[in-house]
Amino acid sequence: MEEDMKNSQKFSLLIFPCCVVILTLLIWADNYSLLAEHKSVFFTYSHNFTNGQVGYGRQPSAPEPNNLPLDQLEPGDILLGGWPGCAYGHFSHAGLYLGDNRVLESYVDTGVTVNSVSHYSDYTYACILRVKADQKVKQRAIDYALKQQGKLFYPVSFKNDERYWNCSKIIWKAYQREGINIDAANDIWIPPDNFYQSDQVMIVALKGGVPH
Amino acid sequence: VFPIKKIGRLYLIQIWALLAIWLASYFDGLEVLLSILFVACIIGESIINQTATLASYLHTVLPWQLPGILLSIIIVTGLTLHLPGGEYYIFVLELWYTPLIPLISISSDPFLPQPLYYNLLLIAPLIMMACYVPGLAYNRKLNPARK
Repeated sequence: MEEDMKNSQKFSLLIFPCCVVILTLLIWADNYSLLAEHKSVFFTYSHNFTNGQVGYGRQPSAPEPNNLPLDQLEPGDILLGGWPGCAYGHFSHAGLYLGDNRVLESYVDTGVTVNSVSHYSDYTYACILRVKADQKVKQRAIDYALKQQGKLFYPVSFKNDERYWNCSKIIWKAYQREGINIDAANDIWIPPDNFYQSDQVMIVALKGGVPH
Repeated sequence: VFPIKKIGRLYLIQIWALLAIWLASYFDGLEVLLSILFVACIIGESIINQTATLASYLHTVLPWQLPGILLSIIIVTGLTLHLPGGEYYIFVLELWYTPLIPLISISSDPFLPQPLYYNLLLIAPLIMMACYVPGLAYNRKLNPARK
């Protein structure tokens, strides 16, 4: 009995560290090529972290309208927004335009949700991207994304599953299912900047400066 | 008063489980198994630690869940508006409770103003404390005199 308890105590304490080591090695091996890629979000975040940037940037207390031409939006377009000082790129947020001034987004407190598109006028940096695809394909991507409403937001979710979402992953997945990969870097995580750099999209409008 | 060794073990298990379950989500489905294993480990700890009185139970679970309790209170009371970096507290809470995220993610209700998972996240400290209750019940049964 005493021996069983000791073994159980050891198991509880050692099982998860062992899993961490094994899983890290497996993920490392699966993404070895990304280590040499200076555009990868891991590299970007690490670099910015050492310069004191941690989160999604500093939102000005009284943001000025960026004059993003929201009237040019078409269903299936991608909206990008960003604040100065974002740790993972020029843009910190992404949304999928649904039509009728509605945009599908993901936030930690709402999960996957639908909002009014108007707040994209408040971002310091903003952009409208149009995916090079048929309108039927875009509609199917929208339909898929809408089915994920209410699902969980997790900021560092990997690409493989369909249970944990962040603002850019859901857009990537919706188009990836239609055979369109809009992740320019094929990264392990998808920062909004990867959409901007993709050759599967064209830039409709860009406000507040050009990403590096 | 506080069983430092027991509390330390619980922190270690949670921190390593946090990393393991996040990494396991790379392989779709594996994280759910590890999350169930995590809950089983916590229940196991509660039995092994021979917590038989309510006082000893609280002396163990409250310090263990203190970070989550504080974060939840700060978020629920709206103190995030007055604290530096207030908008990040919910992210920290979610990352801290990563071991429960695979189980919480099963819930979704698009008709609520805020999804069910968000509310479950806010009461995650209570869920974790509940995982430690079986040991209390088990050890009380073994040692009825200690009630």
